[in-house]
Amino acid sequence: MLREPVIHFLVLGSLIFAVFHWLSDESDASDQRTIIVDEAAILEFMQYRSKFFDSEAVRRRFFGFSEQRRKLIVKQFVREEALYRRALDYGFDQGDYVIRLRLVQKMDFTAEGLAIDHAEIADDAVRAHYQANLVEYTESATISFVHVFHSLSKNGVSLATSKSSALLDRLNAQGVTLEQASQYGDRFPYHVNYVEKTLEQVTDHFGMAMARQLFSLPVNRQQWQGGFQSEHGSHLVLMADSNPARVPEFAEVAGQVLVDLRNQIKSRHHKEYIDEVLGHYRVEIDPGLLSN
Amino acid sequence: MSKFWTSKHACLRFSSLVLGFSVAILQADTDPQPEYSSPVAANYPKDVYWGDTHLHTRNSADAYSLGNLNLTPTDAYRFARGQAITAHNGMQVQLRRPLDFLVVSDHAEYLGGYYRFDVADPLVVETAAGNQWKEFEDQGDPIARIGTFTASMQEPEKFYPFPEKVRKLIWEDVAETADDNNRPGVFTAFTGYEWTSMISGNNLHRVVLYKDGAEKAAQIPPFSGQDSLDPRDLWQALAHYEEATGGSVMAIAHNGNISNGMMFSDTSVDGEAINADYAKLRSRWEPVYEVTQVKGDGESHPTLSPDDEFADFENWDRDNIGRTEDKQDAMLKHEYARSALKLGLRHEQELGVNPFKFGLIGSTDGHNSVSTTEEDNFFGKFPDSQPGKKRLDNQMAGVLWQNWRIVASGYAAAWARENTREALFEAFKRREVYATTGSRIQVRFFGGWNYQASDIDRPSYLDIAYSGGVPMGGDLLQAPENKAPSFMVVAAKDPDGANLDRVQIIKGWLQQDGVLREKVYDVVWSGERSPDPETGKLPAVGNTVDVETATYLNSIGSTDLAVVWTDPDFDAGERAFYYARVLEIPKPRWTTYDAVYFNLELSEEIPKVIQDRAYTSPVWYTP
Repeated sequence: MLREPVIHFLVLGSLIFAVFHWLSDESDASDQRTIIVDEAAILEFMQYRSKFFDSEAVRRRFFGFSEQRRKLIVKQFVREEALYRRALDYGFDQGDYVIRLRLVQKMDFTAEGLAIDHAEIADDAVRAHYQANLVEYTESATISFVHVFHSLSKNGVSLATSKSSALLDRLNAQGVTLEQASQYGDRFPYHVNYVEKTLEQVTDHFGMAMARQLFSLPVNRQQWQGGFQSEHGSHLVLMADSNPARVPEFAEVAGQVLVDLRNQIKSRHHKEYIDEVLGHYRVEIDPGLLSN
Repeated sequence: MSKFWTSKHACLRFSSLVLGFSVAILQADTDPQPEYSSPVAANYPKDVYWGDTHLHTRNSADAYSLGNLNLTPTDAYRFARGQAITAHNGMQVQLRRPLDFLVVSDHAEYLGGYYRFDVADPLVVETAAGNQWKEFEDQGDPIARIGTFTASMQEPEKFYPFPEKVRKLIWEDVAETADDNNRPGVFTAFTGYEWTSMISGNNLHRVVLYKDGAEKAAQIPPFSGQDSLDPRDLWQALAHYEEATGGSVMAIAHNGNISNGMMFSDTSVDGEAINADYAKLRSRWEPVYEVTQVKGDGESHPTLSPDDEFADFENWDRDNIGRTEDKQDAMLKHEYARSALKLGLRHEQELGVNPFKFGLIGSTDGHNSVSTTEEDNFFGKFPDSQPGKKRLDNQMAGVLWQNWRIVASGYAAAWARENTREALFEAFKRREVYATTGSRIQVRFFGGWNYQASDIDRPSYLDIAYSGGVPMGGDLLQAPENKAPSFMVVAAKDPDGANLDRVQIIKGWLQQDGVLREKVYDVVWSGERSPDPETGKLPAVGNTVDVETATYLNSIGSTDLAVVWTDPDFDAGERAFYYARVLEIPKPRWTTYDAVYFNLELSEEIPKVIQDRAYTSPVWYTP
């Protein structure tokens, strides 16, 4: 073990030093490809990471964590240790913790670079990626509508509702069209016509209850429907169009699929590289670290 | 691409839905006269799009130096589109509502360079700068590299910029990344960068925003502060870009508040009084100004506007960005947007062109690759101001301003016909854009000569507004005899936010005697309040914030406010501008959310509540 600075010894105290020393001797004799994950290693790791050097406090903190969290810390330590050792194998310099982090970062970059080299992509692969990820490319359902609004704050609840229902018959009797909608009712705080809006967008302006009602309405450009109640007031709606969620044809999204696949391949190569490095080492975890 | 095409098709399919003009004055609820022919399809912008034009990633030298080692432009675009990301403090962070557009605007100086050096990218390591940084390390002083970011702008002959070839290769990567993340109709990813000019510690930064994709944008690498610190040279470079590529580009200045009077100075950086050429170029290349962001709000200052009780809002007025010189009162009028708009009127009188004829937007200037503006979801500026127990006590970069002072701000809102680079860029160019300090307050603002008070009650008010006047960013010319301009303002609360307190119209004008004046008019407000007859001030809206739990109630305020207001003090011979300011009711400031979440005591000096707000771009009147 080459990585303990003076402060490390000061804070860990003699007992831990002894354990550490024993481990160092042990590791000399044992396989260089073994990563020992014990209390000393974890405490050191945590102290440097938090820049807080009090081994007893850190020890208490670590064992106060849930098992899940302790597992995560162990996993992070192992990853860092493995990449660090591989970096040393590559002949990068030895040094302090900053250098250590730098070396790990370089390994990540190396992995990214390798990934890019591999990113030659055939057309078939792009098409296959599209097929395998249709959910990703599915476009949300949208509706398009205009509405005539009667304001709650201006009319009160009962008048807003009664004006609305009285007007409904008139709009339908007179065949009032989409273009004429803005001649009726009160000014709505947001918009009169909504084109290709998703459920989330309609909810933003009309509330969830009314948005759900609108998404279940049939398209009918001749028939005003309603009234529907939002927190703002009463609405009569001419449902102009409705597009169910749809999966676009491959040709429509080929460019985007290629970008996505390239990113995926890059991150896969990256992960494979890291896994390969990790796989090079046998990891031994002190069971006391994770048991309660 | 698919969304783009389906949207296009939808436009055709749906053209009959688009509302017609109806200039005729019709009573609501009465039967309209049938049109002789179908009304002309109104071509005005129907939707407001929300975005951030100013965000940094690990490609920025300062962001990287201060701990953003890993989050890339792609991460930034993905986060803006609504995906979850792991922030530097280890927390998962996600937007409740995705953004509609984002400009990743990393610093042009050593763009991407610090990261590439650390990972031994030969592209950077083998440059003169790379050699110098290596020497610093060999001498045991790797930290010295951090200083070269600013030093290379002051002394480029000593701290070497990257060669053109390297800059171009890195820039191609930036522009192509924006293209990869651009989804016309759904999410607009703009290409951009920041020109980081600082003179004597005074901030003159500009974000440069491209309409174009990599095909054009990548042809010429960014113009950096290492090339020149003079904005006139930047404008020349932008002109050169447009000529050479056929593309379109603009510059957006920010943080006049830490420029110690240089941002809207009467002189150019060489001390010469600004002239008509300067004015023409500035108004040509800088149609909008970023008035609010994490490093302070720059709309108004209480010293300049003592009668405006809302002027004292998240101001940063201690010194300049380099912290080299304390603020003097005389600097303020050359720093704040309202004052600059006024100075612009006088310059126009004298030069024939107004150099400070800008619209207003907000943005974040975040350096963590995550764009957050909400009080209850604010992830700071640098990693040191991400949520954590320490950020109410520590200082930016350890030595700069206290982090509790940073502002969860702001948004750029654009009225546009569709969510594409082209449509949004054009909205910025015509200044039909506005700023908010972090909420999605919706506001329309129009000026005209014939608006009637009752027009505001019409559901068709937009037809009247556009056909009888100009939207925010526009000009009113040639007042009809004995007419004062009227302004139509329609504001609605953030659907996921606080109710509205009031709408104000702020007027600035140049008197015949040469004196610049300003006045704030309360034009519409919530509840049954009347202005105090003595002071003319409208009483405060109240406060429902519970600091102990970081909650508030929408039991006061209005969901929407609208009015047609006519200037009672109009003089047709005087140049003027008008813009609207929309105030929300008080809600907990981000520091209060932090205190509750982390169980901390808030010290006396830290504000507990905030009244977030929107500033529209002005409408100008020119005799």
